[in-house]
Amino acid sequence: MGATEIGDILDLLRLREVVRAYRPAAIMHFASSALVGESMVNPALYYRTVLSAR
Amino acid sequence: LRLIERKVARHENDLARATAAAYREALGRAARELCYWTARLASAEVADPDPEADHGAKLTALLRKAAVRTKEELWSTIGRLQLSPLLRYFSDIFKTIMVVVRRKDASQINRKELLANKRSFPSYVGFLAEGKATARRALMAIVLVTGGAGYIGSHTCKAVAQAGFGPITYDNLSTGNSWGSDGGH
Repeated sequence: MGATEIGDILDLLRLREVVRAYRPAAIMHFASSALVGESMVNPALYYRTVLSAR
Repeated sequence: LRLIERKVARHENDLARATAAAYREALGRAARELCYWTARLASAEVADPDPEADHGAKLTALLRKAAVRTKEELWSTIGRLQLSPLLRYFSDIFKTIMVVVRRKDASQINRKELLANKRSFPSYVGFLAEGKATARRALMAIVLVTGGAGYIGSHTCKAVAQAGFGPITYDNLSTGNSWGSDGGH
């Protein structure tokens, strides 16, 4: 469904590039890390993606 | 004699205005259609085989030859060219359609007097500006869905597309699920 652009939500440069290319009217944000086990092993990643993702 | 001349001139002007209005409406419709399809195509996944090529000129020539009349024809013609960064060439495409539609419309009107009196037709530049504004509005239909390859995101993409917008998925595909936002799922 539509094009897929591969990029990380924490990769601001890549995200900016994609937004520039498509100029979307709206952005719906569903990018997340959502694995409980992993979040215990690597809480820093979860802090970044969940709390500070742009 | 002068009075008659003036009367005739006024009558002709009225006629020209009326025709121009109908004409403008037809062009506006065509422009809106084109903008919609261009926006849809821009959000579709097509590779640009030759980024250096002048697609605008290529498309211009092709559309002239193909005498595109319906949006399906336009769609397939543009699709055949496989243009990916289509937005860049939008103005060129639009110009071409304007020429095509204009010619077709003029033949339908079929009034030699009016055609001779070119001043009575609205300016080409005006149409172009109007078209670009319409294009900008049509392009508003793109929605970026971050995490669009995930479960919620892919279903959102589906809903967004069904609602008539062009979803673009932004995802790092990290969790390796096979929900597959692309490929028509």
